Amino acid sequence: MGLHRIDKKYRLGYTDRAKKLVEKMTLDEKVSLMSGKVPMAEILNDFDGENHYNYKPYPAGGIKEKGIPQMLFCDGPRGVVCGTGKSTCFPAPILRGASFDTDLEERIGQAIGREVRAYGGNLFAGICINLPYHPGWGRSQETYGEDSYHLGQMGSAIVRGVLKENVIPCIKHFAFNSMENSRFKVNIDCDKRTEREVFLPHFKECIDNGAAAVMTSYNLYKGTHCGQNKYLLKDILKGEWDFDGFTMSDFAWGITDTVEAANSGQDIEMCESNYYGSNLVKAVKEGKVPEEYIDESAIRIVRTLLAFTEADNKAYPLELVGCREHIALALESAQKGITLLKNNDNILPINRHQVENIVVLGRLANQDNLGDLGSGRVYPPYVVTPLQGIAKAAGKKKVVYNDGYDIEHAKTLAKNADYVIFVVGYDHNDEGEYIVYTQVGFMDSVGGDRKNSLGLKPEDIRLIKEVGPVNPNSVVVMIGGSMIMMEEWKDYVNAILMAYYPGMEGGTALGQILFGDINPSGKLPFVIPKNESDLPEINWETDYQRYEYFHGYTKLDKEKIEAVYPYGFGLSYTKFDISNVSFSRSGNYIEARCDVTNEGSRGGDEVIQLYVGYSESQITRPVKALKGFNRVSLKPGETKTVTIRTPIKQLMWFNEKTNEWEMEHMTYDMYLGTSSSLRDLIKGELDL
Amino acid sequence: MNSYIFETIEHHKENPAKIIITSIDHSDYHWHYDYELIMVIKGELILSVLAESYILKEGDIALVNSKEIHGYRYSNKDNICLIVQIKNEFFNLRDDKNQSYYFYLNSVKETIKPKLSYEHFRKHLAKIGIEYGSKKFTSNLRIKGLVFMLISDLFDYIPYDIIQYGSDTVQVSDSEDILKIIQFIEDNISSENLTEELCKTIGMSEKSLYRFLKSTINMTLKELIDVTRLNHAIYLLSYTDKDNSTIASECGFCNDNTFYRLFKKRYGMTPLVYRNINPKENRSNGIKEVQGYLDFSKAEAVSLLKKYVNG
Repeated sequence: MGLHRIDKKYRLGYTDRAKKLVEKMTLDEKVSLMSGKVPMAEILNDFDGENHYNYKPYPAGGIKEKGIPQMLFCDGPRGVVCGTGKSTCFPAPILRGASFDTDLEERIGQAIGREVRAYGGNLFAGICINLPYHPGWGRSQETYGEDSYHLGQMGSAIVRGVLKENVIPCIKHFAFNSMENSRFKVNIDCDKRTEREVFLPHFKECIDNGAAAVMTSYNLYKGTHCGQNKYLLKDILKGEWDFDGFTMSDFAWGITDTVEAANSGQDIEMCESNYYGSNLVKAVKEGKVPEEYIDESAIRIVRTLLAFTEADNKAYPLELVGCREHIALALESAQKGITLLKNNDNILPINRHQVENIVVLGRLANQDNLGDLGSGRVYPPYVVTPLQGIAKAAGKKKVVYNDGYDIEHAKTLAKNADYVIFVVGYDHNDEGEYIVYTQVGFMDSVGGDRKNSLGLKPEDIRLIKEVGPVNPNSVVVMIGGSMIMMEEWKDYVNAILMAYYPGMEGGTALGQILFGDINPSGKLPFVIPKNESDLPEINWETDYQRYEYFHGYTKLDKEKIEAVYPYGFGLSYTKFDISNVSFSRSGNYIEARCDVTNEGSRGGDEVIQLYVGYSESQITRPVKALKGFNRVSLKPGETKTVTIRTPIKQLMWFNEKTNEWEMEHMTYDMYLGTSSSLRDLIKGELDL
Repeated sequence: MNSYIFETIEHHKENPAKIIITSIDHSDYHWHYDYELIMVIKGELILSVLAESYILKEGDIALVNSKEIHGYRYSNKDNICLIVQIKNEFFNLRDDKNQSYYFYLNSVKETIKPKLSYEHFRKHLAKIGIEYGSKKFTSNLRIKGLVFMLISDLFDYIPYDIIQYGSDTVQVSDSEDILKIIQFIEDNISSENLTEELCKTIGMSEKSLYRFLKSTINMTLKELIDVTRLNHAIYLLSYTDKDNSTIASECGFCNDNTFYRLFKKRYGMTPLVYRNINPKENRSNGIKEVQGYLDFSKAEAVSLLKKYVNG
């Protein structure tokens, strides 16, 4: 037992041993590896006592006497769901997406990996990379943003981080899971180019970066449940993509048919045997499922678990959970993701030496608000609320909070204040995992998709519109897991920040940004349109939904609709200049290069973004799409050369007729800059 | 802290609140950590909170926030009041010692409209009073329940601000400046150069200190010092056997005559008479005697409270 860097080659090195072990197993033993061991009744029971969902790692399979380890499942993605009052609660992935910082995400992945190990787990199932086709999706907060390329990069980063601690990275929900309320019944349809170019590439990217487990989704794709969808599991995942790990179903309702699931390549039924177990043994004996399929699943499971279990013999003490370093990382993440959208007259940052009196308004300012309360709920030792964070940053200055319920009182407070900060948006009641009470009845959350409105609540809008103009130093801080409509109220205040769900140290980061101790550097991982009608059509309560090729910023681009705030947009307290832009080809890569200069008097980070356009294309393609990004830190006056390298194959399109990825040979539009808006981009060309 | 302006409220073990049904003659400016709810069940009473005064009439309720400097004065009608003093630790719902809640509940001067009617709170307070009066086997338990309900209702239905302090920082507000001044006076009561020392300590000129006190509690520094000295004298008269001269000098009066004159002016009797009519054995409840709570009929109070409960 040595120390191994886990990659696919290393894992495949366990194939022979796995085969030999599986050869000696009875059918019952092999099938026993293919089920979770946690009865749903027990999970339900955990909610009545002091425990909660996944308070300890949930086991599957394992045969002790044959040396086959169990799979020990830990959920996420905000951190590790196990334990109570212990785990580090990072910002929700949507904020981490806004950092555009893959190095940071890798470090977060490693910290999560350590906490999984400390809890005794060996699999992290909190890597959600579903693409929010429509921002109203209640679980957008669990994913990194609307763009497939960006999702693939951020997802791969956490996969690499988790792998560093020899924990199995499990990506989910495979696939097309971008609707919540109807997730158990909705049948998703789309054309093949949409499937391959929009909804699957980020899964492929994460597999190529070492993801070793895949959780399937509840929804159907083209009429078949994804948990038993041969096309997705056998043909694409294990066939074309040559995935070496194992698959598992989502809990309890992830598969609906023993034979169809086993024949589709579904390796593990979670969280207990309903359709597998004795039903699967029977199906094999009746010849409905070939035993070689069982052998293949068993080999995948044994190979993966042995490879990971034997990769090291390090001890992970429980003290690692929620340790100082991990909490510092949660803070760093919030500092780098919170996004400044508006700052008229540079009213921010607040100069703490020139103010006496800060007023904070809005119910959400005084609330622990880490995101939804579904299966991703993490239980940290403490939470710094926006109010606490602002007071901490204000030092000895007076900070007064009121919920804003009484407009006249709010106005009186605002008039006499140096700054007024509105904290508005959502919590777990408004969006998140949606559990039908009659079906389960145990989750303390309403959640679901944002069916009725993508805007702020009427009382929040009223508060901003009536109280905002009373004080020129009015700042809105939005809390929420996805795009929030702003057109109706954005002109009533001079500064706006998007804080997403910023995690256990979110309040601290927010205070530091408001007072200029930290220069904001987050970038929107979604577009903010003027009208909800600019977004794709969707029916949240349905059993059929078609996903079109265009969504988000590519849809607005195509329809020549101006956004309120474009994808990739975010302001800083300093000013960056981009010069000497060049685009070239270097082997199988595109290289975009520029010099970035910090022209202001404050250090700061900028995210340089590469978009590729297809104006010469003979087929329907986006006006432009993100194909690379790089975050750079610059001291005042400093200049750095930034190079972005992207494989040329990222520019290919999927030809439905030939069923092949193909390269168009033409002149591509190249754009380099600081957001997806042409105002923030410098254009060039490249022949490929 | 040897305090009377800072009122130490003794709670029975495990009880979240102290209940008092009483007639009030006067209660000088004082403060405490507890949140105090007062309901006038008969007559009238003047409540002063910093520089503002309100006449509370029958059925009026007011909440005095933690550490808020306040005082009561007899108006022209005899009163009976119900006072519920709740430990501030029960207001620390977020487990954050840097937060303090400031509730807006005053039926005479409504700053913000409550989300539930005063009627609701009147009824609830009356129930607490009746339980307190009944002394049943279960009263204590029932009072606890009612008080916890009351606290929840305050959070849910009474508008409040939160004063949020950054950790490790000391927040300075008018109220706390006054607390500091009072504290300094109490600690240095026998000093002869009290004014000078006070100005030096808090960093204000005598002039600005005068303006500050006048605008916040509507008293001059001399009045505040005299009140503090007299309160201390009352305390010594009630709880010690020290003679008048010693008391006068311990309280910082420059001579016995000044002590007599000021005492008589404020309380309408000499120190000696005061000591005689308040024999030591009756002084078990310090606050009651010291602060001048008057006698009243318990039976009357309970029957009045029942009217509120039954509407």
